[in-house]
Amino acid sequence: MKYIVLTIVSMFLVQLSIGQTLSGKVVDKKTKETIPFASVFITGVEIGTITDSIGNFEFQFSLPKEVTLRVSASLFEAKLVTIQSNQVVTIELEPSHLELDEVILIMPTGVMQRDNTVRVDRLKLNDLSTIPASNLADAMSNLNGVQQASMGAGISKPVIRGMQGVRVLTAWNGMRIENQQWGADHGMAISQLGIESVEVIKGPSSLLYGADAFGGVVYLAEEKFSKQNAYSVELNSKFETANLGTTNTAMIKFSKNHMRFNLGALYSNNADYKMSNGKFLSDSRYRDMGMKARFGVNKDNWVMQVNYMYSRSYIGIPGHTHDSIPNPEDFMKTEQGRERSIPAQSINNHMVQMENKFFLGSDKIQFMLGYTQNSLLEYEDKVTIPGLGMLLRNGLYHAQYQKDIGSWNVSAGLQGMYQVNSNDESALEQLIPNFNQFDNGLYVIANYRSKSNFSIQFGGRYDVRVLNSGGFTESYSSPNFSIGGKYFWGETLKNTLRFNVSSGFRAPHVSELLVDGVHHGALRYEVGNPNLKSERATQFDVNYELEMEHLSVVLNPFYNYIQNFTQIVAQDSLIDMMPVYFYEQIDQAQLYGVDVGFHYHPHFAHWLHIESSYALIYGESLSGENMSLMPQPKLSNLIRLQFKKKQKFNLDEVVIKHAHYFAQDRITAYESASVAYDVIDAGLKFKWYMKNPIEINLGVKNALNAQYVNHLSRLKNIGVYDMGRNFYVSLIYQFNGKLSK
Amino acid sequence: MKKKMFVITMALVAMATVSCKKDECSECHYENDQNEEVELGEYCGDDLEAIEASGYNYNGVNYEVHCHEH
Repeated sequence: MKYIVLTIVSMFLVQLSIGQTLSGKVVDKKTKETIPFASVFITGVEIGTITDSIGNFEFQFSLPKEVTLRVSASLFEAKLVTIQSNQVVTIELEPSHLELDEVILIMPTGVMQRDNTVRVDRLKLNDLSTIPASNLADAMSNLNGVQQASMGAGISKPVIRGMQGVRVLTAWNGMRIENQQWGADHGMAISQLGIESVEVIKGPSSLLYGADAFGGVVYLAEEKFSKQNAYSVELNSKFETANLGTTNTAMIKFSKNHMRFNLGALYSNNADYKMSNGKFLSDSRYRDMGMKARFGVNKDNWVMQVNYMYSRSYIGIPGHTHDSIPNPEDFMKTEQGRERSIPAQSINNHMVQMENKFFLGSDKIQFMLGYTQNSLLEYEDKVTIPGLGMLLRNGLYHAQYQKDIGSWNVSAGLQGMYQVNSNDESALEQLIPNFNQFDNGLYVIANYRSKSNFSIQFGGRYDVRVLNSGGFTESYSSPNFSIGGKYFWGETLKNTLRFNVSSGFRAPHVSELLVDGVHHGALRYEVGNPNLKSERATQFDVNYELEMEHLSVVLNPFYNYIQNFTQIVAQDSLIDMMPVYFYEQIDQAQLYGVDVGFHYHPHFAHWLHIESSYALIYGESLSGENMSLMPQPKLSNLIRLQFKKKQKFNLDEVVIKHAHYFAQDRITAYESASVAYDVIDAGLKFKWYMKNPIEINLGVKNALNAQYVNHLSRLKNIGVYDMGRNFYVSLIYQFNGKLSK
Repeated sequence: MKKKMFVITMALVAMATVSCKKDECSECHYENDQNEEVELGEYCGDDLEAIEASGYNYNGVNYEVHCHEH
């Protein structure tokens, strides 16, 4: 027996130790001319390079036997190529003047967006630099069907097709983030520092990410490492007038032979913001500090990455009051404050993740271990004694095996999380009790891609959650599935049709089951319901895309059927001068709507982009009662003008954005309707073309100083407004160089 | 180049770790039996923590202390 085990281990180790090198060139498929400065990136190994002036590239260290390259260049269609290493390859790219396609990371198999059976919306944060977003949730609101629920400028979270909080799962490099997101006044636990892109699946995705991936999944992908044997440094500084806010970030990257390292830091300090009436919203000030470190190493068929993130925030809680009928004037000040004050949240987050990948021919094995820790202290009446204090710790694991069999790719995995929440004993109050819960899920996903025009994906998963809190013990379990297909046809008119049916499962959270007390941050007294059942959802999603020579169009209707939908409902009573809310369930509910968009980018005016999108959603019980906090329908328009470099100090880009929010009068009792409003932003991007260029962005958000409050704002009911006119300027300085081998 | 990288790395580390928590100070007060605010002056650090936790004793009566404007 000993000799059999030894033999198997030896074969495994031999597979791991067989390393390969790779070189080649990238050419235009039509003209066969070489393409200089094309990007060649090895997915999974996470190392890339740029072709030289005659289109050649080389990876100078040993690689797995089989690798997948993502090859892209401006004015060409990006391509994924799986090849055997240890050879010289020629990769041909098809000319295209539309936007680059990208590898989708949220799916277990790295596929290009156009080949994916599930519609994934993707955003590169660098693309927003001309009109920079205030935070990640604000950045994501640029995606159709995604809005943000905010409480002032420092607290914001994404809302995907009407779902937020515990119904939206956020994953950082595939690892789930937990930060008491059940609280209406608890924002995202992560800043934009070091984040390259955001991918969003709209609708239930429990097959991929388990329980709580109910309304959608947000996947945050870290910035890539520097290209091989090179370093880069980026410094970014931004100033905004509405809250006299400064945000400074620095990111340094090294990549040398087998090892790579990224290190970044952020500091942001923001005063109370100015509303359109000229007054300042008290306690809307906040400050953030954070750092990130990322390390990667590869040897032959093994790749390891370690990611670490630390963040610390002190965030004012605006709108805090004990009055049952608050006076908006109490929250509007004539002087702008920045110093630490109360009420406020003090939040510390640590996240660490280690991922190992083993490439065995066309097979891949991945192991991920992670730990996250979120400390939340809320100071209400005392400066040094928290009113509320909780420490949330999570241990996470994920093991996955992937295999390619001809046109099939099969993934199977085991994923889980152990979570413990502890109340701070020095805190004056306790809102939810101490608890621990253990989640485990087992899944299988199969993808088929034909050589012609269609692909299908289907899979199944089983999740179990065991929850313990004092004398309350309960387990929740559910199978989940997903099935989808994609069909592509046409040459001049390129048509893509996707159809997906997916299920979601969400066990009730402790905050819904056992809460009993004043939640100052949410301005209400909350009462839980220990008899809540798990929510279950089944979404039907159809996505049609038409790509013509100058125009692309997307049409995406959807229907989501939900059982046991939990909502918090206002009662006609007060406790401790706070309105009372109970957790209740609707037996059967439905969310349905449509996302539509188009992008016009003509050949004859290659510098012009016109984009427009519209998102509409209805949420109601099957008996016709409205669901609360449904987003206002939104029409977004964008004009982008891009100019070639003509002088040393050049105007590179002009962007004008317009968002029209339609009125929302599909509301519940004790919820107020919201009026329509418009917001216009405009920005200019200049570039000073020195040896190391400096990018200067300046512009204005809410240029017309519109007086509005979004329907999803937690401050709506106290009569204060979102931010008024806000001028900004940002500087981005980047330099890089080579490192000796 | 090495010197530049070293300086930048140190600046990053400094930016990330500079959190010198200087003693927090606040103006404190209590409400007397006539519901009038009585100012107690500025308290810092451990003294601030102590007075918030234990209150202020005046003529044998212990009053809850509030520090910082709400």
